[in-house]
Order: sequence, then structure tokens, then C-alpha cells
Amino acid sequence: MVAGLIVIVPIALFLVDLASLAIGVTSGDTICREAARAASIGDPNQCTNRAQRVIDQANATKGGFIKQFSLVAAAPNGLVYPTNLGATGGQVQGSIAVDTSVAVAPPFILRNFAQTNLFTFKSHQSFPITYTLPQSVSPN
Amino acid sequence: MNKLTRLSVRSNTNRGSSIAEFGPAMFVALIFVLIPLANILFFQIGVSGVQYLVSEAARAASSADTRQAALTAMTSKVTGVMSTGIVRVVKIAPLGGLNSCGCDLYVKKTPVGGGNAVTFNLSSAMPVADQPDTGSNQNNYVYEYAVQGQYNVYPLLDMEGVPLIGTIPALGGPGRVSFSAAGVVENPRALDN
Repeated sequence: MVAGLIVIVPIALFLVDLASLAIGVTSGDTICREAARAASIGDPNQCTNRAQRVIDQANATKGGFIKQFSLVAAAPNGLVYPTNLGATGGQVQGSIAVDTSVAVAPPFILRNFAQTNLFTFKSHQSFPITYTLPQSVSPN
Repeated sequence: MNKLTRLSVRSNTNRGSSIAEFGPAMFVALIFVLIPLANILFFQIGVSGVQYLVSEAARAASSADTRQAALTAMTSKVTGVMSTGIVRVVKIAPLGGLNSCGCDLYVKKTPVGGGNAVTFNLSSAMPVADQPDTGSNQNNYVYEYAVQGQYNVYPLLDMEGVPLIGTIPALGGPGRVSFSAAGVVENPRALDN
């Protein structure tokens, strides 16, 4: 009985740790996606600031075993600005790539196997820019 | 003439005691170890389910084209997720929220240059001065739908009657779980009405 419990209890706690890691990874992916989307719908020159604000909001509401979301990089790729804005404005072409990381502290056993008790997982997301520059002349 | 006979004497060992103790030990292990462990695992699955549910609700709201559509998308997504998959297996009960679905929908307006976010409850229209289409708000602020969900996650076996364990959330009785998730406002004009 005791021998059985010695095996079963750590296995159960290990499974809980694995579940918390899985939640941390999916949260990190979700936040990375939102940061990339927020960066891609605004002025490409401000993509880092826009992504950082999403990370800040995520950090303000995080808790439990998720310790920290961090922005690693946010950069535009293949930027092409419209040449003639005219009366309609124009679509900026290209994409925004965002890299983030999330630090997760499993509650029971696995934390002892990581440096500083934290596991760090990285995420990468890229979205096409959907930002439209305003028109240069009045449409009327 | 007396004969010396050797009587067989049963050895006075504790052989049978382990079998006699197995029943009570099993009972104690079951009540205080195995069932609480199963409850913890079940609770963890419930927490994962709530996290999934809230993030799906935020994603559903983010592509809405009106404020009312965002509210409807959130509640219908919550209802849909709760009736399918793993969330249906675990016992989850919503605590309040819009139409008692457990979730409320807000909009967070965060300055791009940094600073405190302002939150608006979407049950009523946003003030015109704060809408994305007003002035250059869309360039100066990041607008996000924020879903805040609160649920009771019930353990696999209700042990509220068991002393000590019954008072511990998630082990003996329901544990309250709160999650929040955000989705970028894909259509800024959705907040105009």
C-alpha cells in the first residue's frame, strides 16, 4: 500500500505539473498571437510599442503558475508603402513578426529541475499588415 | 516410563496482522490520498477548460462588426464550448456574467506610448471621445476586447462531508477559478455604436 502510494502520488503531482506547463504554453501562444495582431493593425513604425502594450496588459492580469510574459522582438518584414494616397488613402503591404516568451513555474515537482524554478517557452507569430494610411486630400 | 513428546508450537509471529490492517489502511488511503489526488487532476482539467473557454470567447468577440455582435459572439461561444468536448466532462458552473454565462466583455484602451489602460464595460456604448474612429485614437491607442470569466470547478467526487478535506477548495468542494483573455479589436468601427 505504502509502496503504491509512493509511486502514485508523485505521478499524479507530475501530471498536474505537466498540465500547468501546457496551460502556460497555450497562454504564451495566445498572447503572442494577440501581440502580433495588435502590431499588424497599426502604424508599422509603432509595431514594437503596440506589441509591448499587449504584453503589459497580459502581465497585469497574469497569476498563479504563469510568472512573466516578455516581448523578445517585433519587426516588420517586406514593408511597401503606397506611393499615391490621393483621396482614398492606401494599404501598407508587408507583415509583422513578433517573438514572445513566457515563464512558467510548475507547482510541485518539475520546478526543481529548472534553473530559477522557471520553464521558459518561446512563441513566434506573423501577421500581414492591415493598416491603411489616411488620404492626403479631402475626398469632397 | 514417561515419554517426552515434542508439541508443535505455533510461532508467535505477526503474519496475519498485515492482512487485517489492509482494510482500514485502504480506507484511509482512499479517502485521504487517492480520491483527493483524482480530484486535483480533475480540477486541473477544469482549469484548462476554463482557460480554453475564456480565450475562445475573446477570439470570437474580436472579429465582430458591432458592439452587440461582440456580446452575442462571446455568449454563444461560451455556451457552445460548455456543451462540447472536455469542458462538458468536467463539472463547471458559471458565476454571474452576461446572461449568466460566466463571462463579461470589456474594452481596454491602452496608450501606445505606455501608460495606464482604461477599461469600458461593453454592456453600454463607449463614450464618443474614446472610440477608435475619433481623431487619431486608432493610431495612439491599442484597443482590445477583454473577457473576464469566473467559474466554479467541481471535483470528481464531492467530499464536502469529509472532515478537513471537505473545507479545502478543489480537494473537497468546488474551487473558484478566474481567467481573463484578450483579443485585439479587429474592426475598430464595431465600437462606434
